Amino acid sequence: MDLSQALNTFIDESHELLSQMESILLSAESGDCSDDELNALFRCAHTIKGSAGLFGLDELVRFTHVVENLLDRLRAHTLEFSPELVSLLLASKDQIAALIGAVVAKEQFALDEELLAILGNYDTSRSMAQCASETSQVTVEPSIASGTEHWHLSLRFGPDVLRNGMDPLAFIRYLGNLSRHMHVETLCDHLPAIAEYDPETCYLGFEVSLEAETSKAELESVFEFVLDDAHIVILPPDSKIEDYVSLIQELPEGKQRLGELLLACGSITPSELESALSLQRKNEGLRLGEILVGEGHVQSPVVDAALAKQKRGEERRQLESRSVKVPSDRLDALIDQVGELVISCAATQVQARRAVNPELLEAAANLLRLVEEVRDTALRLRMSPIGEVFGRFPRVVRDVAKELGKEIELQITGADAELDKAMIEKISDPLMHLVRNAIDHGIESPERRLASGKDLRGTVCLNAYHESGSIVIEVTDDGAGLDPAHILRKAVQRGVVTADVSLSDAEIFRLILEPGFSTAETVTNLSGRGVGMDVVRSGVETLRGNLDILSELGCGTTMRICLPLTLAIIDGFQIGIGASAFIFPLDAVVECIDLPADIGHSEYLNLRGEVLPFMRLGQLFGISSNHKARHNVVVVRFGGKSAGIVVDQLHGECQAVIKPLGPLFSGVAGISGSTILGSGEVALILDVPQLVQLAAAGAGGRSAAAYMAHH
Amino acid sequence: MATQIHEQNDGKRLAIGGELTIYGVADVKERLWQAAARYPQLEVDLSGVDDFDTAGLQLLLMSKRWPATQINYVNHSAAVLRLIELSNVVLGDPLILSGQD
Repeated sequence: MDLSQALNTFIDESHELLSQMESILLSAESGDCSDDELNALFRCAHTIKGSAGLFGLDELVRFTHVVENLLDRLRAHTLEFSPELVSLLLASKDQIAALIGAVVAKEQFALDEELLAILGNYDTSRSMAQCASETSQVTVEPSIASGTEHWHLSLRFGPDVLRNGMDPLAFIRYLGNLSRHMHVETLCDHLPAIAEYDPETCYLGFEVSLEAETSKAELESVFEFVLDDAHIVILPPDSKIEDYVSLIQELPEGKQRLGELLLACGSITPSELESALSLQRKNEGLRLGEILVGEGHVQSPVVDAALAKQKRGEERRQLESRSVKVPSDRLDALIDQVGELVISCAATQVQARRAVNPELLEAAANLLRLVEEVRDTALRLRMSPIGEVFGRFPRVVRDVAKELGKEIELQITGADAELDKAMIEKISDPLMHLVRNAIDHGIESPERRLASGKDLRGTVCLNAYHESGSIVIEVTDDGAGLDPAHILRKAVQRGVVTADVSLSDAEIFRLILEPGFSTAETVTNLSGRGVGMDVVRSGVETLRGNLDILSELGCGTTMRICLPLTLAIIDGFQIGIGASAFIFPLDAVVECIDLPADIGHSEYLNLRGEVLPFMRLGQLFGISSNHKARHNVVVVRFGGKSAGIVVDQLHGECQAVIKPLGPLFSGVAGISGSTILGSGEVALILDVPQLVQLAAAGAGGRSAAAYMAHH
Repeated sequence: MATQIHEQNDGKRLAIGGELTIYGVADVKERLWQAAARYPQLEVDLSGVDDFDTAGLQLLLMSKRWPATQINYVNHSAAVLRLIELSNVVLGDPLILSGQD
């Protein structure tokens, strides 16, 4: 077993546990926290501590141990949640995350001793204030316990533990973290002769005595991973002499030798040893198991706990077997290969059609259908629900709202809408900016809300849904809305636009996306420095998405991000202009109509009573189209806007594997990529969002044509 | 960090660096045993050991059992000292203990 791999698993697992902790804490803050959740909370901290001990992450263990104590008291209902406690625990969660982050970065991290002290004292000071009778019990307990909580552990490890990546002394070091005082005796009796020594075999045994407030189950859990590979005897504080006798009998070392070790550990007194040995002489012949059961050594709560733990372990294993972790580069390779497969499938179909062989054609069609299914499955492998990102926001909203003294309710819908995993990571930062902006600038102060007759509590909605091959993510607030006049004034003041320009409201809203533009009157430490929105815009644009701003003064603002679902393969709709082939993403195509012959030089069509702006693709790209042929209009739609694109021929649906364009073409408007057709020809993939914008702008096309003419 | 072994003074002195753990212990043992077979007295510098585990401790214990060769360890690094203190083993080399229990 490679330990660094195990460490990665630990880090992944810890992140999951921490986010679980966070969501439970946040629900606790709103007032309801079931016993199950309290138990889960405790288990999170406990598991992190346990695994951290295994890797010798002492600082992490020390800190988590204190947190765990608090959670244990919550679980036992000797401590109740208060807003203050939730904040404290959230801060602790952050601290644990920071400690783990330092492990990942292989950095030293200074533990927040102040926080640790607060946590440590919280336990007692808090309950003292709340309930006097309980406190007396709590504060007195340790002083009684210190004399009696003496545990003794006998550890014999199997020869292969080292090879299996376990380090016995790491377990013992971890025990040391649990206890106030520890004494270790290392048993070297089984070291072999020089010639027989195998450096990777474990020969050592240990006798350990501890003073600690712990439980047998907890001590056992320390050795959870080596139980199969080791012989571990734990003698609880109230063990009788007989138990030590059993121990002595059970272990392979000589009686006298072991007795000495127990003495050295301070686990028994010399007279106790004497009486133990004599008792043991009488019992000679009795088998160990009989003694153990006879003496009630195996207590039933311990057995129950062990069973429960085993069951938990099984459940976890089942969960693990249901999902598989795959390195993302292998997934990328798969999708790449499936892409090639799709291309050669299309080529096969073209050949079959030319050969005019019905059987071959049928076989090729079947093949294509199967390959399409494989493609869809392969692409789905990369999909993750957007909820992964949304899940981080309750905490953000809580913290930001608290800092600003606003009451905010966060509503999340559509968290199960899926998109490419790589995009999820990249969209997280822009979304974070938008949500912070919504709370900071969007939602008014409570006083102003009251004055304008709104609910004191502001609402921020996160919503996601699929629309024609893209995913739409909306951040909506019910705040003051954007004031077009105010924005325009600011824009003129900053020289972003000239004073005499006439802009629609939507165009004015887009001004806030310009670099260095901030309308906030005061700069808070959250947002308002005017860097936020242009970061959002460039973040969205690198994902080939676009950002719309809808706002109504006094009622609120919606920021709408439209993103393509994936970046690899699309269903396309192939059209032709002159001799060139182009592809529309099929999802964006709404319908195809004839271009009326009497259209002249108008830039608008009448589509069933609606105004439809249209543009001639041939003109845009400077391709002389075949004037004799009848022209068609492809109606495309993106982000709620439609446009007509005039083309020569319609070729129908096809599969397109998107190949990126070289840097030379990056400035060409209206094109987002290229693909290779089944016939081996290259076709350009049209950028529908840009085309829709260009068509609406009317004049935009000419600049692109000019660009094409020059290159 | 990977294990490094440097021979000094004609092989009568070895300096071990990096990790003296299960991952490198077989190599170190091989070199140490070769040296021990050649000289009656060896000095091993542990100042560069930044990772040390049970397997390393076991090697130190075993090396003390050479019948005809005296192997002395010097300049124990913090990682080594921590484990020696924890395990309470007696190696017979002069140590500078941290004083913590």
